[in-house]
Amino acid sequence: MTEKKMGIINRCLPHGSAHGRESLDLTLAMSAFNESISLFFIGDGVYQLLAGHSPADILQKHYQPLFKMLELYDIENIYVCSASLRQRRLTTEMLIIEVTPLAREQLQVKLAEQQQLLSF
Amino acid sequence: MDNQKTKFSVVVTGAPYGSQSASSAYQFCAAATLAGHEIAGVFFYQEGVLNASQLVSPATDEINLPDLWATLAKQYQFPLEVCVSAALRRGVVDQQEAKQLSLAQFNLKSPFVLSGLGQLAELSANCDRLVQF
Amino acid sequence: MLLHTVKTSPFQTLAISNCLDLLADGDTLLLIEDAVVASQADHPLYAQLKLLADQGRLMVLDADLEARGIQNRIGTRCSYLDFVALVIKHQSQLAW
Repeated sequence: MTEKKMGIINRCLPHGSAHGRESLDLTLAMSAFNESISLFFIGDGVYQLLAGHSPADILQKHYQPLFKMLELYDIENIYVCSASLRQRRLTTEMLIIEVTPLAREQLQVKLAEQQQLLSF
Repeated sequence: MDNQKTKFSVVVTGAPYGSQSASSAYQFCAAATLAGHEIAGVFFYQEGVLNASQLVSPATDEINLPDLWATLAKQYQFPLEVCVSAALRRGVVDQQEAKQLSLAQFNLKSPFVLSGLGQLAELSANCDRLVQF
Repeated sequence: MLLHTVKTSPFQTLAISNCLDLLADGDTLLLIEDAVVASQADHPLYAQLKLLADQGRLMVLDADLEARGIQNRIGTRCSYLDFVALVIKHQSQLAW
């Protein structure tokens, strides 16, 4: 048994589906067993990190604060698609955690480094 | 690697009915075993946990995907792991959880088992290829 | 090298478009489920898919074409056994 380099890709807006939350749950749980996890936020997935979620009025769980746990769990490779940010008029300063913005070519390189990928 | 045995772990995120993705996952697993490869295990997450309900009751002339999973898993001796937190949220419960939560019923189908995400970590570490549906 | 699998129609979601944005040189795209329609219909990404097909990097799941009565114009038809072999051939799979 060997730990695999795992990339977890987030592609969905929060709250309309449970993809974002279940991806984060999986990431935090997996980090106890695997120290080689990289996170990717592409397309609408960048909205997972946009500061200021307040979903109480739509009967959804406010899970955004849990993203702060990533640092405590030693998940440091957090990549965001800079084109997706630009297209949505967002900047890295508007996000709740520190991330590394990457251009598409750089994202391709990072994805190719992973041995396993899960996308949500 | 082409001519030797490959060990697959498979992640299923779709319900047994309503979308095709769990059927695709099953067909992939069936093909992999047919080709002589090994399934380390199947992990059911998100809507995929509904594959583990023994209450799924399609018409008699239709495919019963939970039955197909159970048969394939028994035949090729691989585990069907169901994420417990995703399952409880969607009403898939085993006897022990039902007791703990004071629920009147349980519905987990054998040989599916409830397990934590740690089990996915094990399947991930213990395979040559991880495939998601 | 990645094997990208897409399962939705380009008329319904942007999965194929998003996938093509991140598709690297050695990667392969396998169309499954509703996405097989992209190998037959005219849509804005057809020309890009045809280029991939010309390089032998576009696969289409045969059973999903048959099921929908669709005849592909581009891409290599493949079986589930070929799907298994494709996963083995690539380092990882990315499900869109």
